[in-house]
Amino acid sequence: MEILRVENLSKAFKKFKVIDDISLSFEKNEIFTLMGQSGTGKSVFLKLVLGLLKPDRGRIIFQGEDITHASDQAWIEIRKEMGMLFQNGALFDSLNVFENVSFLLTEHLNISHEEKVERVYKLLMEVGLKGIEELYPSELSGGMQKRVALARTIALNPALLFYDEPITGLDPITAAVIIRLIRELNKKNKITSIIVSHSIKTSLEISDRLGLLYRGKLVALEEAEDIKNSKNKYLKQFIEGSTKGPIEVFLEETV
Amino acid sequence: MGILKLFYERFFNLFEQVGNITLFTADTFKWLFKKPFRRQLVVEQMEKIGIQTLPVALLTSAFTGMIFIVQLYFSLKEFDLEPLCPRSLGLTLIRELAPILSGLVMAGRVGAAITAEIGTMKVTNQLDAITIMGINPVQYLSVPRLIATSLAMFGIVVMANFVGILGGYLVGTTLLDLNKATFIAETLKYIELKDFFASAGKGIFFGMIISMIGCWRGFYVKGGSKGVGKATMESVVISMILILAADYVLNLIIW
Ligand SMILES: Nc1ncnc2c1ncn2[C@@H]1O[C@H](COP(=O)(O)OP(=O)(O)O)[C@@H](O)[C@H]1O
Ligand SMILES: [Mg+2]
Repeated sequence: MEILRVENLSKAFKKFKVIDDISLSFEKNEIFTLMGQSGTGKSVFLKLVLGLLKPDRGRIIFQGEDITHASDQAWIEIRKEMGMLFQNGALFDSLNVFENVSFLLTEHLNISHEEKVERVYKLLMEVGLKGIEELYPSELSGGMQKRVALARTIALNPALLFYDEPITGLDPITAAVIIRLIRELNKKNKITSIIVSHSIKTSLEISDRLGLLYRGKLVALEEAEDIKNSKNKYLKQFIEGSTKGPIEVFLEETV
Repeated sequence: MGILKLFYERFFNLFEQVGNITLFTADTFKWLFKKPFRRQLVVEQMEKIGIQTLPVALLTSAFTGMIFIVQLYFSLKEFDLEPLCPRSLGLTLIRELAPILSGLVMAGRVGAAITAEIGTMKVTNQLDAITIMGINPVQYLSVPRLIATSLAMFGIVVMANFVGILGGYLVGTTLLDLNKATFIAETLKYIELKDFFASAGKGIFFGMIISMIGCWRGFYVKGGSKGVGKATMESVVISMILILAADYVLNLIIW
């Protein structure tokens, strides 16, 4: 069953097309990874779907409802069903871990402090953390920050979770922990996961389906098991990490 | 041609900025009257602002009173008019110096702090995180700061008036030969309730300027942490200029 669909989505910044006529449908409970080089518009795509940026053209349909032009009030309800793990975690650095993780509970639910304590404890356990409620984000390592951010994001059990470069910049072991968490949340809590990443290895390992973004266009879309045998030239080049192929390479490319 | 174009751009830019500030302020006022009202956040802000501003503002006002009375005394004594000292001191402090000096002090400390904090939140995606969690960041960040700076300025100006006159009184009646009893009587005789309200009203208005410029500059910061530094400085400069300009306009209206 479909949970989210975008149709002819386009977004330009000062005539520079960052997202160019993308149509894509996401299935309930799948793990989808959108791959692409840095600067191809992956983060912009997520921001469009989350309503943080307004598309120039196209439609966004969430759970059968057109939310492209939803009111601020409607978005508040929609966003209770969605979550996003930012590339840097985006924890509130003036709040401690407890206040960060309980943020959604405090704002959207009317529950007692005791219940909040209990739920924060459980949420932190879900991401494999314990006894750090009093610490501030600046006192945590990058990997821990991401896990706390994940706990904060899943507090209201979203149906759909977006991950922006969830493992970029993490050491391999911490990355493995995050990947296991994404998978667990997908299985246990039935959270549909849309991941944005430029790491091929983990993308192949974790996803049910993958797409490849190049210069704002969706140039490949495959089931995970078909990837290895795909005839798609873009995909082949991206996976092999080759400089030869339809993806143009600039030597002065910055990350 | 180059200069004309530059001039045109600068002018247009200024026009645009004024429009943006106005829109931002209107937006904050719109959210001011919407539920929920986050009292806790207002209290936190008031505490912060009080600690940051009160000591410096009172010290500034006290010293101004102490210095001002000396200058007044020697200027007026030449014409045997030194009995006018308390009246001049009181009116100038209450009508002008206390609100302006407190405003400038608060702009330098609180305005800067607000822009730095919100600007950092912006560049680290914390503002987006708030939005995604179904909360309007203007309502969550800007509204409490608007209320807090206004209320705090009210209190600070009232105290600054008192402390400034007290400073003048102490110097005037101990180091100079002004009469204690007539000093108090004269001060009370010439200060009307209207002056008091105008003074406090100015303070409230300056407080609004500081928080609105501070928040606005933070919300629209560009260019990473370097941009935050630049925005912080701009926030202080714009607030100070606006406080002085607003004071001039308010004087025309009130007197
Ligand atoms: N708010 C914005 N205003 C202008 N340009 C932007 C904005 N956000 C992103 N861009 C540009 O869009 C392009 C894609 O950015 P992004 O989606 O962050 O890439 P990535 O695929 O690495 O996540 C980049 O060239 C970036 O400079
Ligand atoms: Mg990105």
